[in-house]
Amino acid sequence: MDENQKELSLEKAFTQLDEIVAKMENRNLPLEDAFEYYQKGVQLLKLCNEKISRVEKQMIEIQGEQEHDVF
Amino acid sequence: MSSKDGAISVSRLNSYVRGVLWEDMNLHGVKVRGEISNCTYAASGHIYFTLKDAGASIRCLMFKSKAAGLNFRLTDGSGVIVTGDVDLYEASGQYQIKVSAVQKDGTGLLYERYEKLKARLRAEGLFDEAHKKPLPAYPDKVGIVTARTGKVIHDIMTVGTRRNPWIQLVLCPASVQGEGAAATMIRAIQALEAYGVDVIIIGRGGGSIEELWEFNDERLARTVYSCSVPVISAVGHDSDVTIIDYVADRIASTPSAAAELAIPDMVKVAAYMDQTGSRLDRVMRACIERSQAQMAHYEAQLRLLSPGRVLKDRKDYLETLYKRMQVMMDHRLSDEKQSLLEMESSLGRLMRQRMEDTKNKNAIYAQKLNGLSPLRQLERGYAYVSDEEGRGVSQIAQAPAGSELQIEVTDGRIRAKVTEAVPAVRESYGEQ
Repeated sequence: MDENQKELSLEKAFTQLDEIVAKMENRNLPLEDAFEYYQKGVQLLKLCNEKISRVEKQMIEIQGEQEHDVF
Repeated sequence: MSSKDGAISVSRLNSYVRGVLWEDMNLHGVKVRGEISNCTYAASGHIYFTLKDAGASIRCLMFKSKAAGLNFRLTDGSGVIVTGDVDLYEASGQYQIKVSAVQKDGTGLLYERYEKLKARLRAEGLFDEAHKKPLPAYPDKVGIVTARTGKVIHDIMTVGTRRNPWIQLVLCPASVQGEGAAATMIRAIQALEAYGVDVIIIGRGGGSIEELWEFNDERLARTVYSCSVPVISAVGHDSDVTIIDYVADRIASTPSAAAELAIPDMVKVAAYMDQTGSRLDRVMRACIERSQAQMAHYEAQLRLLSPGRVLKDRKDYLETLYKRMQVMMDHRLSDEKQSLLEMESSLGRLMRQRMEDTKNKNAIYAQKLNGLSPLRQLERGYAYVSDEEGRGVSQIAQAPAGSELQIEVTDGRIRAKVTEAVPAVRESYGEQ
């Protein structure tokens, strides 16, 4: 699993999963491709599971670009 | 009150006048409309300014404690309505207003400006439904623009923790009230967009139209419009709707409601994942079954196309052809036979007829012949005469006297000796 996939958002992962399932529903899909998609799907699911089972997150605070203070 | 010469001190005078002013209830909580000038924000936190109109002016003082409640900065030239008590500053003898509140004059004007801005932005398409971005179903990071402390951020955090503790909340604090708040909110939105959140909540716990005025800022509206991340406006209010509500992708009545819109429920996420897992398995199984069916189909086809099968098919075909030919030949043969038989029978008939005819003819000839037979002539008394050599005698020259003749009759032969030959004296006979 590359860094790219680690950073994949849950939303994108779910979108990809939906796409994979849709592709696999195509009756003309060759079996090898189906296996490949399936493996990718299972991997994505695993990734999502890891993502949501992480420990509770603390809120982050960031600052907007500073300008002159008002008041 | 007076001394022996009737004179009083300045202090006493000012104190007395101050008392008179103080006792007049009309001068308490008075509202005065005017324009600000000579405005000074003192280091102490108090604000000093002059309120004036075309023909008069009055000094105004706003203590630090009251100034804290101001939601906009006082600037020279701005029209305001101040509320306060009329008082006298004894040290200078100047009378003044001790200001408790300042409101911008012309809320009507403000409202007019708001309506104009709304109409303009609407015409520009900033409120178009088509431009509204859908909220992400499963965001990773939720950006929040609100005050660092207070009920709003607390409520959002509570909802977030309850629904989905793995979601990353990112707060970019901003002023949500008072002049300049719009600018801080703009910076916060841009910072969160750059940080890479999936959705942004702009929250505030409600307020009067003046307090919410910053949410009508045109630049803020444009920032929300052009923000690549969906924005939920959670500016709590009952009746007044701010510009940001029109331009935001979604509106929530409270910050908690906004958090519920933005943060998916963990239970739903888990359910989705279970569902997707079983869907994956199902489609995979279907794929395999489909392939198996396809293989079976190909197998059957292959078997159908195998050389043995082809040969057999050809043989079968040939056999069929052969059989058909045989049947045809049989038919043909039997037809031929039939016609032969017919021919034969007709031939036989013809032959028989011919024979019959011939026989009949023969009979006729026989009869005729019979009539002509020498034997018949013999029966009638005629005889056949021949010479010694057996030659028939028909002329007298053949039978010279002395020669022997043989005369055939019906029942034998007679030998005779010619004694005389006499020529006949008669007409010649016609041939028979």
